[in-house]
Amino acid sequence: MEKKKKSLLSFAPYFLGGLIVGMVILNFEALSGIGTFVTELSITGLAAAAIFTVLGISGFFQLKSHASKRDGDMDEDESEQYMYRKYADNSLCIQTGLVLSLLVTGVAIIQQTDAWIFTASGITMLAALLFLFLLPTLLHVMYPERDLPSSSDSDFADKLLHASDEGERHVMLEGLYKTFNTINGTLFLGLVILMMYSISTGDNQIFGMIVIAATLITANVRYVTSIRDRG
Amino acid sequence: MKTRIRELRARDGLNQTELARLAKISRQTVSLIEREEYIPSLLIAKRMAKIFDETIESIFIFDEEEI
Repeated sequence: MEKKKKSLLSFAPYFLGGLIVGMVILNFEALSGIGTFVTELSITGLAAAAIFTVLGISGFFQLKSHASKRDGDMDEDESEQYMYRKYADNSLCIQTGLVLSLLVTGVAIIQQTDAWIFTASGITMLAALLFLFLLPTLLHVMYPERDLPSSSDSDFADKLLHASDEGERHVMLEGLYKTFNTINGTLFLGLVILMMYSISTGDNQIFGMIVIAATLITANVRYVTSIRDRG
Repeated sequence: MKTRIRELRARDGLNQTELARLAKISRQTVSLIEREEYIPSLLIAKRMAKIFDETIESIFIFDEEEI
């Protein structure tokens, strides 16, 4: 029963993605007038960015406090699992906050919306960026016994991978492979949507299409060149 | 592959974090092996065998078709 529930849940992102794509395709005309309600969209985006960033920052301090004191209510395994999941959740919140605030800041500059939107999104973006750099410092508090690289190290990602054990690398590999496939699929879909949008509205999206195509090709070239000579 | 890690941990009164510390691996790796989602390297299998004072074959049990 649990397995069936899990497999049904795994289809949820595809269902949601299909629903969004369908709605976008059916509403190209309405979307071409997106510029008329840009302020409302920016405020919504800004609110979402602020919520994610605040959640990420408050989670950062909760995690720091937990890792320093090691909560007495939990047994050791529960505590380790709590910290692991909390770190992942915080990372996701801060990343989402950063992307959304960057989007709102960009829209605010392009559309010259109210100055307060630009200021608020800029501040949110800087806060998210700051905590994105601060988050890895928690690893030393969470795992003081492990020889982990400093977050200011220029090769932080490589050294962190090197410091991980085989089980952790196995989890990372699975996650990254799924991510790579998702990025390939969504970028390809994005390219098709922009093409259809350009055709049906006459609003030229060629530059965006070129950027997406270049990203898609670069990601695939990077992947293939890193595996082809290892055979 | 089936594993007796959970049973052996209970026998020796070790939690996952303590076993991870003894085997010089992360708790996440212990949890993965215990849930039979990952087959460990020979080195980790050997360390586990030493910790529990058992043979590798008695901790990690493979089906005939797997070998």
